[in-house]
Amino acid sequence: MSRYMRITGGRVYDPANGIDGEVRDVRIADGVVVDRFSDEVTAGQVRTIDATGMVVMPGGVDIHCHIASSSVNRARAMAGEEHATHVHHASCGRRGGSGIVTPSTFTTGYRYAALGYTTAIEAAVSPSGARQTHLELDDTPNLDAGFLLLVANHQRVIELLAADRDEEAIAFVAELLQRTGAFGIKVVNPGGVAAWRNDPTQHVVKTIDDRINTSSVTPRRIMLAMADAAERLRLPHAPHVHCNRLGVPGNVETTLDTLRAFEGRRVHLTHVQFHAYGRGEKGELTSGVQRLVSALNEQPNATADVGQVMFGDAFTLTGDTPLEYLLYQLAGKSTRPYVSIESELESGCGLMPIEYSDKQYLHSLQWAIGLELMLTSADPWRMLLSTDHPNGGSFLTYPAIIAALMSKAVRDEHVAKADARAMGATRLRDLSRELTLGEVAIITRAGPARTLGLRHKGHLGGGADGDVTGYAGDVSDPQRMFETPRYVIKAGRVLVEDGELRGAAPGGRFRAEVEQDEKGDSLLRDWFARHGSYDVAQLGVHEHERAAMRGVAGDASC
Amino acid sequence: MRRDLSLVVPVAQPYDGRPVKAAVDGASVSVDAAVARAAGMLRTCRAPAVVGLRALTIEACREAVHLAEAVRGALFVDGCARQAMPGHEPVIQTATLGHVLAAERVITVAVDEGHPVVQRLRERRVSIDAAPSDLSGVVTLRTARKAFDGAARVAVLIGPRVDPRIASQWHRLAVGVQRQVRVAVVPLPGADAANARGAAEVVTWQTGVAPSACGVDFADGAPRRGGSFDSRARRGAFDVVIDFEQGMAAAAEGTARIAIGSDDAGGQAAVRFSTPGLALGVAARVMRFDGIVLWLSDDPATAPPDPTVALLKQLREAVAEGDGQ
Repeated sequence: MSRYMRITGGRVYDPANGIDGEVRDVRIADGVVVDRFSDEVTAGQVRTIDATGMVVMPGGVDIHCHIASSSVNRARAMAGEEHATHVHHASCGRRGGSGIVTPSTFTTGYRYAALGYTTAIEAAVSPSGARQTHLELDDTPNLDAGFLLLVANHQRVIELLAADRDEEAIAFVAELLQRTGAFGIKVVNPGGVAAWRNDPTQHVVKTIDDRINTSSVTPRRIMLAMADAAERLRLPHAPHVHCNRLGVPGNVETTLDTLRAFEGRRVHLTHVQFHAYGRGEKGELTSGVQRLVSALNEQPNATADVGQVMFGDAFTLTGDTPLEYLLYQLAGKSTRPYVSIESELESGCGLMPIEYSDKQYLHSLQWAIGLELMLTSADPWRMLLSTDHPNGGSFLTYPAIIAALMSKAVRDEHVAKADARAMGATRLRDLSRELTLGEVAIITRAGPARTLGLRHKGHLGGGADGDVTGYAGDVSDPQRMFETPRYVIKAGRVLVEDGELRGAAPGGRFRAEVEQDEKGDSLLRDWFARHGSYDVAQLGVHEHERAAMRGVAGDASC
Repeated sequence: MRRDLSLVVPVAQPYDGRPVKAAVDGASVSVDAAVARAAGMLRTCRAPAVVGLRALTIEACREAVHLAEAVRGALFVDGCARQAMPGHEPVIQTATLGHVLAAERVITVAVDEGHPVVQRLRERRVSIDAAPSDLSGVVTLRTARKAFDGAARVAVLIGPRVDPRIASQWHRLAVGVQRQVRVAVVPLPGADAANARGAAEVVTWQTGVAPSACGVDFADGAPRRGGSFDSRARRGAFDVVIDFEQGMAAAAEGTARIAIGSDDAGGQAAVRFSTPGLALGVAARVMRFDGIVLWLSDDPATAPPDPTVALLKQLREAVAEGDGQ
């Protein structure tokens, strides 16, 4: 590996630095982007990559995916047929593996790199599952990664909020983040998962002001406490919220209520496609996109990722256990495997495979709603690409989504095949907008990095990580272009060369910089003494492991 | 720490820091010499098997999978891998131990009173009902519901000797009553499960293939589900067995063996490495039956690494070096 690298002649798309297709060089020294090499560097020391005719972007950043956790591993175990069909041989120093919707760890790292992605955030990890996630990420090459911690339905957090001990709830959350080496706070169906855990009759939270079990705590209160925690702890990323009532007709009302609850504060709403549903006269699902997009447009502190559904195989995998149970009852029952796991009074997970069909009204509508969200959002910086991998589809479908966003003709082809009634229920076929390469760079790298607070990712300015992707510049076939980057470089190391995956680099780890707090430590010890099934010292990572991760602090102004 | 680990490694001995010892054909030799001999066997063999991963730490399991892949062998966690990791059954409603400890009522199905989990429940004063005999056999919704009456949160512990089909039936029943009572069904490990869950998880995340009794085969360089070890071994399908626990390789009697582990009864192995196995005090991890990862040392930063990891790596590199010659 050369210490110095110059990628020359490419059309650079670096929206964070206001560069939109300008032909210019990108220089990397010791894995980091530099404006110029120091005078001591000789021409012979610099590896030059000729990117003439190519489109050059920062490495991709996946803001929300499920790639490394006990739940993901359960999904792999459940998806035996997929893993028998899609196998990958060990070769050229790369490890073997299998899978496409729920790929094995090594395969995950190779496939992300082969798409030009170098960073990913695992979106749902329980505190007690954090160690397994770190182990799996250790075996996921090529990706710098972090994870979001499921804390909003933790029994102790609910108890503390019920007793109006908000400061202690925040200290408790801080302790969990710090001990587990987590990157941020994940809020899943706030209160709904805890309610279902304790009382089977509390199956669905209907509004954000419903009381959770017999306590005074409501989803609104939990969410605002998490907003307080993110601000007080100066986390780099806002609370990452999976709203209540995912998938339920009419849930856009809940999503709008959630947005209003966060007014003026930072929040990231995740996989909003699943939360943008109106309700028709017969109770059927309709599009609520217009209302959600206008509300998001008016709330500059709110960001979202889309959770696009793609036709074909997917795997529902969620911390929203009551939702998964509902889904199993509606769609699965005797025909599909289903797993539900409760974890240590902290959180849970539900799993079931699914196939999205363009012949079905519901699935066609979901597909159209996702695209409509991205095409009608006024600000691409705040409506980011995701499939909630593998829930809406594999991350491997990103190039197909990008193609649909960049080309009305591509969309029209799909629209013609999809359920006609569903297509009539959205505005998708009337939308003529086609995303530019600059906008694609925003929704796939610059936007996610900015939203996550990863200042060294998603751009090509001085000090950024030397993560660069070079695509063949033929935009007439955007799917092929984004499926087969010519070069992928991570921290100055070439992973893909001339379109071939050549190398593998160890993945790095992000964690939030959270200050240790004696109160939090004492609260956690007390909780474990009363309810833990193992010693508190066995929770999370040790200091030497934490030291090996990259700490990320939030902006003081956040 | 020892108490937590008792659910994983009930007979674990503290690591005394002894280096790995090696023997070839029963005679003590240096580790390097034994590695060279073992690597030679692996280079020339047609179909190796890597057996008994449950006796390894998570760190050693990772290396064992890498070795199996490098020598294009078949690997086996052990016969109870199917139960070790949920995912094989069509429907599963389960929980970790912390959730069980908070249940209003716990029903045991053929679980010995002396099982460490039962003892833990007694300490927490959790109400435990042994299932009537008809519940440990064929379960009906009616009889099961009777057992759930009056409780909102119930855990059903399934003993290690219960037929997996019965356990499966309990899972189905649990799923069927979730809106009336939250029931979690938790299969308990036998005393010999060791790190079966950890091994099964490692194999699954590294290969994508969940090891059942059939194991995972790398014969063509990609991980695929293979046949069961016993039936294949009896047919003479393997010509070398890397064996991490004696008992499991019994079916491969007469096959050349490379034994690695703490078991001293490895006299018949062509190559023998004495390693600490699942020993307290090494900087390595194991997984409890419900998926909780536990360090074997209080201070892994300063604890000695699991020597099996370095040994397996050395062996893999020796095979590769020989291949390159």
